[in-house]
Amino acid sequence: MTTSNLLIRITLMMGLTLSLSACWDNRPINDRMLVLSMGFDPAHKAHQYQVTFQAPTPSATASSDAGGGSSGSSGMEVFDVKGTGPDLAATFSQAQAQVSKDLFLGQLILLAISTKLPPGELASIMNSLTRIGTLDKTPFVIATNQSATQVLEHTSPQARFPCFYFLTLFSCPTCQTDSLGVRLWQFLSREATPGVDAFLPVVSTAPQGFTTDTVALYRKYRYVTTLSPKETQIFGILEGISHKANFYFPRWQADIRAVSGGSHLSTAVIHGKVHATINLRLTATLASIGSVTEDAQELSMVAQAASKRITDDARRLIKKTQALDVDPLGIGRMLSWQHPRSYAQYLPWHQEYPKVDVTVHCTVTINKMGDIK
Amino acid sequence: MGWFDIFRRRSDRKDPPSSTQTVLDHKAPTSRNEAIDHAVETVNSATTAQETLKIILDLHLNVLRDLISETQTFQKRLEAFTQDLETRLSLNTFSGQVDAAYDRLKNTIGQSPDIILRRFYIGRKQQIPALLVCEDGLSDNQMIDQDTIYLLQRFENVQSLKENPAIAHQIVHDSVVSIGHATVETQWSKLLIDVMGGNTLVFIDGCLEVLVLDTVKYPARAIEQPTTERAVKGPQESFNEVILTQMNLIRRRIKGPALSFEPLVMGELSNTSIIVAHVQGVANPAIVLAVKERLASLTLANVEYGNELSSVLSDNPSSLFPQVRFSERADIIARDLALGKVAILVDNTPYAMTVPSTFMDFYQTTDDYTGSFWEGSLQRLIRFIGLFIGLLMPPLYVALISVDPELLPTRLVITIEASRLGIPFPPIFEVIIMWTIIEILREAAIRLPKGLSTTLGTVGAIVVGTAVVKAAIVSDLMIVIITLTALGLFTSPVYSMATPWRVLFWFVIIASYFFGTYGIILAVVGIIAHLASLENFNVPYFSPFGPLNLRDLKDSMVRFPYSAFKKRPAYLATVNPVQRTEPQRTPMPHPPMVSMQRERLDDDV
Repeated sequence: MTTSNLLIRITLMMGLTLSLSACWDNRPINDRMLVLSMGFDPAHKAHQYQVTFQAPTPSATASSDAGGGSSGSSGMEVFDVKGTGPDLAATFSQAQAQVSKDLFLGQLILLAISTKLPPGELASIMNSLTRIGTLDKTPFVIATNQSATQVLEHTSPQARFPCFYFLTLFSCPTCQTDSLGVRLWQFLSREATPGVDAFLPVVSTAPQGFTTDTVALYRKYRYVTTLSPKETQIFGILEGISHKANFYFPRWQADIRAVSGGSHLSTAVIHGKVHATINLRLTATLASIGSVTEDAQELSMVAQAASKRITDDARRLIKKTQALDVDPLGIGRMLSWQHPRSYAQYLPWHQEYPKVDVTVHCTVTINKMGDIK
Repeated sequence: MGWFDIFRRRSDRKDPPSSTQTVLDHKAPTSRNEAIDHAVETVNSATTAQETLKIILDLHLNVLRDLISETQTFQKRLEAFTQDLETRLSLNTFSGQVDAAYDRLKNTIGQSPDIILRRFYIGRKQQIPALLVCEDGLSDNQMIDQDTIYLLQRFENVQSLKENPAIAHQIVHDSVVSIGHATVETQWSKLLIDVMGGNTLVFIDGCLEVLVLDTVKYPARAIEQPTTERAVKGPQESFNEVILTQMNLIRRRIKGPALSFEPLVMGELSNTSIIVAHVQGVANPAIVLAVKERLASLTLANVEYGNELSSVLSDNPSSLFPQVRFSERADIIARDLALGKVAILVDNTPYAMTVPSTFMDFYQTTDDYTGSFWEGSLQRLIRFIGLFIGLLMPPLYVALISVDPELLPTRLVITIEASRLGIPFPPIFEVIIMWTIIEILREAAIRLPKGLSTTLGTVGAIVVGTAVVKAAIVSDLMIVIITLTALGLFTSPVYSMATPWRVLFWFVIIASYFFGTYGIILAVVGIIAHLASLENFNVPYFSPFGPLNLRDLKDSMVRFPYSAFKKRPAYLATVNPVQRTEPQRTPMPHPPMVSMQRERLDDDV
């Protein structure tokens, strides 16, 4: 190869590489508007929705200690720009027209979805979000029975920006009663996997911030129901994501807390019928009891009572989900893993799921008497 | 018309006939034609003389004086050459005549004021003319005065010299002068170089051999502490400019006869002494031969710095990475020699070179070996961490702030955004501004006097750093990053290794600006690929990482205990790879002291 040929090749390669690079639109972060949260609400017009893009104000950024609590300053911490349209691109364009900086979605932390959002629109939103190159599909997704914008605009004294409240909350699984944090990719994964339905934590505003103790069940982007706090606690135990569940037994005036442990789901097909077994091996801490000097027998009775209650509650919850034809526990998914050929015979799964015979075995061990976890 | 032209014209011109010859010639012509020829010749001579006179008259008086002086010198030089030619039929050989030698030297190197020509007589009663030549300042006056001239002038047995002129030099050598090292030479070309090197020449009338007395005594720096490769616990001796001292410092560390110093002289003008050192029976002979061949193949007019030889000692001289290790520490050179490397010492350069050197050699220091292996390993790891921080931190800053901000944690992004509010420049300009300031401070600190440079460096860094942040030219985070970068890039214990990283820093910065983190990875892969492609004397530069050699890894990123260094590095392919054998440890018998103490205790009880 002659020198001139080599030079031509090198120049060509460098030119091609440069043309492929992203240098032409690179921009310092202070010249971008960092969208930290997005809220999705139904619009007044059919087949349209409203998107709220929330970003910190420059003054809040300048005085922010980012991870710390609220400064209590009276100034605006975040500002919202809104767009309404039939797709995300249209709403994005409308929002971009209202700000001087580049709307940057790469640092998105929170997606708030109204439970009133029709399934078609939600599917469209999720489809569009997966196509944003800078979005790494790790934002947390929450559902709300209120307006998503209302939730985003609500402040908490515990964090300067609303999204940081949820970032802190969901980033620490053991800090919650149930580890309810769902990232975008987890939600999408459940929606895309046959035999399992998605759930999202439901957030409601409270005077001192937010309440997050319930979950919303979804089936193919369609909102189905919101479980009560008690059901959510059982759901957490069944999912194996419970950390601080507690139960009270008036007979002994006993209170057990930090109920947590593994959940093992198995399936079988017996005589053409699907059977599912959920084995729960839980540990709990005795927080209080009426008799000051409890004995082993008394503890055993409490443990048995706890096991029975959790089993009964779990059965009730599963019956409810079967009645609603939504499978958040992923029994169908487990069947497809363990018995793929049998699973193929039961498609569509949602017609079969209500007929599944589900057995719950629960064993509670109280092994840390009086310890405060 | 220049001096040379005038001189040539005068030389080309036929000499006018001497007066006697002219008279005879005037008597001799018998024919008319001959008379005419003479007349024409005379006219031509007159014309030439007239032209010359015209040129001379145009010149300045001082120039005229110089011309006359030069002509006289040239005439004497010619006369000395003629005498040598008459006797030995060679211009390069001493004729045995002191007068001729004096004339020759006086009109050549003797024109220089630092050359001393001393004529004297050997013996008291019977006397033989002699000539002593030395270089003022490079020779030891005491050795010349007391050990040479004094003894020669009082020599009693001059008769023996007269009777045996052929071995006169031998008699003087054996019985008179008391200089430790004396040799004999006859060739003028070598004699002149000897005297320029500080030797003293003794010419004895009638003797064809010239005594060359080693009276060399250079003005030299003392052996001082190393300044560029300081060590906490290691030896505190560094080379100075004198090659003999360098050899002595190495010899003191390797006293065995296997240590070989092979002299070379390079530089047509400088005649610089070069020493190729290696340990016989250890160093690979192929490498030693290759070093000598490469040096011999190089022709230089002047060897001022040892670095001028590094290009011929490197297989890839255009590479950024140094392939020849320079060290001012005698202990490091001795250690390299003992490992099987070849050292090159250059006169007037206080740094010795060792080849073949690998990338890892530039990250090994004396302190790595004077402390425990824990200490050595920790220091090395810190050095590499410093390198990675220095090389990658600003590029990562540029890439993550400008191109890939989605890769940063949100809280950190908010913090950085807060620090960058109001900064008018993009991050890459911040880096350029700050790094330029750092380079200016560094350059100024090197050039300024020591006391001033420390103050300027400290004050400059603080004042400039504070000012640029307050002026909102760069962010305060950038100050932290650049400070760490500046410190990190200089963690290399060898200064020459810091330069490539300082240059590559820009390469990585530009790659990060255009391609983000992907560009940084590409740049780092490119650098590693380049390192892996380098070879010197058939030794891979990236040994022992590429090709991977587990044995040599023991002395790479971390230093294993000494007991692990049983063999020399494999990449050097040494003649004798074994360098250490560990003794079999046997349980120590009860020391008698214990039993004695026990007995005493028993007595007390």
